[in-house]
This record gives sequence, structure tokens and C-alpha cells, in this order.
Amino acid sequence: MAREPKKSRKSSTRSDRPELVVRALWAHKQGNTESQWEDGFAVDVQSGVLAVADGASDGVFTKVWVELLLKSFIAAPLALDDMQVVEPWLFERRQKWFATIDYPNLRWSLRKRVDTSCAAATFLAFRLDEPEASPKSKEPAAPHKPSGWTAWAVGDVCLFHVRDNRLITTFPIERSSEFSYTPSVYQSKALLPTPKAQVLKGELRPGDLLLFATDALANQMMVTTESGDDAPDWDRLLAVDQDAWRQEIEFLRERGEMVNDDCTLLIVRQVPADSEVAVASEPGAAELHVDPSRPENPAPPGGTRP
Amino acid sequence: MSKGKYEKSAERANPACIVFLLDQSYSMNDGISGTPKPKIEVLEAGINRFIADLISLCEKGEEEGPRHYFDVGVIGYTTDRSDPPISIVGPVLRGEKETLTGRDLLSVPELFNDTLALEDRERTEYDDTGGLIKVKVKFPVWYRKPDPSSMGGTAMCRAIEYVKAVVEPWCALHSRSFPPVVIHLSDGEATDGDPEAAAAALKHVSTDDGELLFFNCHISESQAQSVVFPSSELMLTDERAKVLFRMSSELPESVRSRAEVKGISCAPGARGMVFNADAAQMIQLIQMGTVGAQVPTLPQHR
Repeated sequence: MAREPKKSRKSSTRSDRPELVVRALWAHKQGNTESQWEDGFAVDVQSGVLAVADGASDGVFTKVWVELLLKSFIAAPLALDDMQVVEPWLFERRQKWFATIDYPNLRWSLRKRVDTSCAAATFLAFRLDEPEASPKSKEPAAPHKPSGWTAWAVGDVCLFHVRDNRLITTFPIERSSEFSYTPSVYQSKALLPTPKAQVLKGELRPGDLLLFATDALANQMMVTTESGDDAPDWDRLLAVDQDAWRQEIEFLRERGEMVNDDCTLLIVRQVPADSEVAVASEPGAAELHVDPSRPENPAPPGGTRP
Repeated sequence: MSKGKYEKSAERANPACIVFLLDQSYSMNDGISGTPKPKIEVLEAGINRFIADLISLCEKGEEEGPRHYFDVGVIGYTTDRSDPPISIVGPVLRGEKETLTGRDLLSVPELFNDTLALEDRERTEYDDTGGLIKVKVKFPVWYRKPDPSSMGGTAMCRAIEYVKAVVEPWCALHSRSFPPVVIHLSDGEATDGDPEAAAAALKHVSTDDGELLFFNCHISESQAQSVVFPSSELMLTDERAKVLFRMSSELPESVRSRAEVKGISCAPGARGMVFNADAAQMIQLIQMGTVGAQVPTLPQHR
């Protein structure tokens, strides 16, 4: 079920960015159906932009909200730590959410729910920094050079940065004990003050892995690394089959080692210099996944599914 | 001390169970807390509102309707007027389609799909300019107060035993769920024996997550001083209140802290009981049903 970006010899002239390979694995909460998976992710490989959202399961019209946030960010990434920009962005998304749910025609129980509640999601966004051109030659930077990146986090979707199969950074949570039941969220109604995103900047080198994991999974991954018993084989995630991965998730849930929650894992690798280049989609296009029932049919940002 | 972890969320794989035990004895027709409003009418509105709120909490915005996060039971009890009186105990929720009649436990989708009535009521709220406006809302009904002629004595012991027989098989089927929460609303003393033994047996029913929680509310017709969530029997002078204290479960710490978040104040060691409750305090105890089973009203996470 994981989407495997097809590999091809690079032919584009867009050689100024590191080339990324992206894999996605996801598993819905036990007891729910696949279509009730309330995480979501969106990727624009060519622009080096991606985002992962984890919809709060006690919200209402959560999938609508997750999709609005993801589509909007991928179409026009913004600095989520700049509240001057974030507040109007959220205001517009909230208006769109309310219009989309068609409040006047909701059944009594849904109206009642919307009257007192809303949707909410934690959000982790990532963008490769603009490459710097060589001041002398005016040539663009080489594609396989290290590249700067910026990540913004609201809540507890986590980024794991792995180099040479060793974990070097986690963000925004650093230890498993920091996970809580009340992470910061973007709400579809302004019931609570808008949280300011945490920011981390880093450097991506050829061969590096970036893992983006929603909270239950991230928590379990951190517990494993903290135990120190068996250093995780991070590179294994590049090849693990989705069904096998889901069985592992199920096993951990059964043993009580993982909270029963939707799980999503994005695995991003910068292609080493001597490798073929992966192209996940046409230049400028993006992959958006908020409807796992049709993962083979991604929609462009701002567009609708055919 | 209630034994257990009490950490399970209400979810479809492991739904929670809330049972109300309603005193339908004749004295429930008297006014509540010195007002002319009959206790049974306050109870009727409180139960219907609770079920509507619970259904709404299970709404996710999906076409198929609210999710099955809860099983709900509302068991009424009284006696007939024969001598000696015969206990009358059984489920009291009904729907227009008659799919609910005679069933002890009902899932949220079942309740949503069969209401007795969907009444139009008005609610006052603020408009965009800060002015007060009347807004029409739907008020679903599943419980109607009984006819006074069918209301007799207080068969409390028999009723508690009945609930035990309802929740035991539920726990066997839902061993990984949050344990059942039983909320007993009454205005008097048992006329069929000592309820403490029945309460003790009920509280031993458990799931893997903990022992059943039994909360008791004594509804007052006078304006006597109320006792809300006491933490020690020494705080009580009334013998009936002491009995209620011993019958009631101690609030597990996880439940107590969630109640505090919802603005329901209760000290460590507090029992789930209210004595001489007025209407507001009775509603507060009813709300403890969902506080126990972890369903926040504002989206947090997970």
C-alpha cells in the first residue's frame, strides 16, 4: 500500500535542489475502518516541501480540516512561527472549513457537536531551504550537496533525523516522557489561542533519512531508542513492506507497547550522489493523502480528485 | 478505594458503558429543593439532555451517523401498590419505532436512530453584535416520566441487583473497556432492605481497567444543606448520607482530575455522591458519566 515513487534517470533542468525519495506508511486505529484514518500528509518532492497532520480523534469534521491545512500549506508554504502570517491563514482556513461542512443542513446531533466543538490537528511542516547559487559562477548549487532545511511543529508529530543509520535529532519532542494528552493543535474554530509553531533548522546530507511520525508511533520509536537495548535499524524502513509494518504495529498494540491510534510514517531520503534519482510526481505537482481509500489517486494542491 | 487504572478511552473497539438507575417512586412527584418543579421532571429533562449530549459527542461528521463509543442503559424502579408490594424494575427508554423497548443496554447509534420525539425548543444565545437572540434547536426525547398512578415504593435493593445482572455480561464481553459507570438517582431510602450489601456486590464487577464505578445522588425536596463529593464519612452527620457514602465509589484519580478540568470540584479521596442535591448538583452528577469515560468536549488529541 505504500506509495513508491518511481525511479528514473534525472532529466529535469531543476538540478538546484537535493533529490528526495519519499515513502509513506500508515495504519488506521484499531476498531476504525481505513477511511476513518484521520492523519494526513502532503508532499511536493520537486519543491522539497511536505507536511504531516494528525487529526484529533475527538474532533468533528476532522478530515476536512486536515485536508484544508495540508493542501493550503503545500500550495503556499508559510513560516508557521510568524503569527502575523499564521493568524490570517488560519482565519481563512476556518471560514472554508465552516463552509465545507454545510452547517445549515446538518442533522441535530452534528449541529450540536459543531456548536460546542470543532476539528483540531497537530501539524508538522518541512521545507528545504532555497539553494544558494555560487557567487562566482552564478551556477546553481550541485544537487547532491548538503542542503539546509526548516521544520515547524505545532503539537507532537515528530521529525527524526538519521545519518549513517544513527539518530541525530528528534523534533519537537526530544524524550518519550514529553508526550501528553494535550499537545498544541490548530483548531477549526478559535476556541483556544493559536499556538506558535516551534522551529528547527538543520542540514540534509546525501544519504540522510528524515522520518516524520505521528505521535503514537513517534512515542514508541523514542521509547525503543531510549531503552538502548537494540539500536533501531532505521534504514530498514526504506524497504519494509506496508503489510509487514502494519503487523508490527498491531503486535505492539496488542502487547500494550503502543497506544491504539492512527499511525503515519513518512520516510524521506536524500538520494546519494551516485544513485538514480527518484521523481515522485511531475515538477510542481504534489502528492496529498488524506483519503487512504484512494491512495493511488492523489490530488494536486487546491484541486479535487478526478 | 476503587481498584483499577481507569485509563481506557471510550472507543469503538472498546466502548464504555453508562447506566442510570432511576427512582420512580411516588415521592419523586414532589418539588425539588423547595421549588414546585417535580423531581421526576428535572430527572426526565436531565436524562434526555444527557443522552443527546452523548450522541453528539460521538459525532465525527460522518454520513453513517454517530459512532458506537457508548452503551447506555436507563433502568427505572419502583413497586406496585399491593401488600406486600412487588418490585417493578426494568429499562425505560423508548423510541417511536419501538426498537428500544425492553432492552437494558442500547448503543449510541441505536439511540440516535429511534427517538420518541424530536421536539422544537428555543435557546437564547448571543448574535454577532452581542445581542441576545432566540435560536430554535431540536430536543430529542427517549424518556418520559411515568404516570403517577404507576409510581409506588422504592425497590432500591432489587434495582441494584438488576443492574449487576445487566453489567456483568457486558464486562465479560468488554474486558478491555473502561469499567461501567452506574449513576443512581433517588430521593429516598430503600423500602426493600439494606442497599449497602447490594452496592458492595455491584462495585466488585470489573473490567481489566478497573472496578465498576457506582455514583449516588440523593435528590432533595427541601433546601437543606447539600453534601457534594465528600471525601470522609466524618464530614457527614445524617445517617442516610453515611449510607450513601459507603455505597458510593471513590473517584479514581484519573476521573477526579478530569472532573476538575470540567469545572467539577472534588477533593482527593472524594466519593461519587451528592446528598440533598438541587437540580444543578444532580445534573453535575449525571455529567460524571462521561467524565469517567474520557470524552473531552473540546478536541485535544488521540
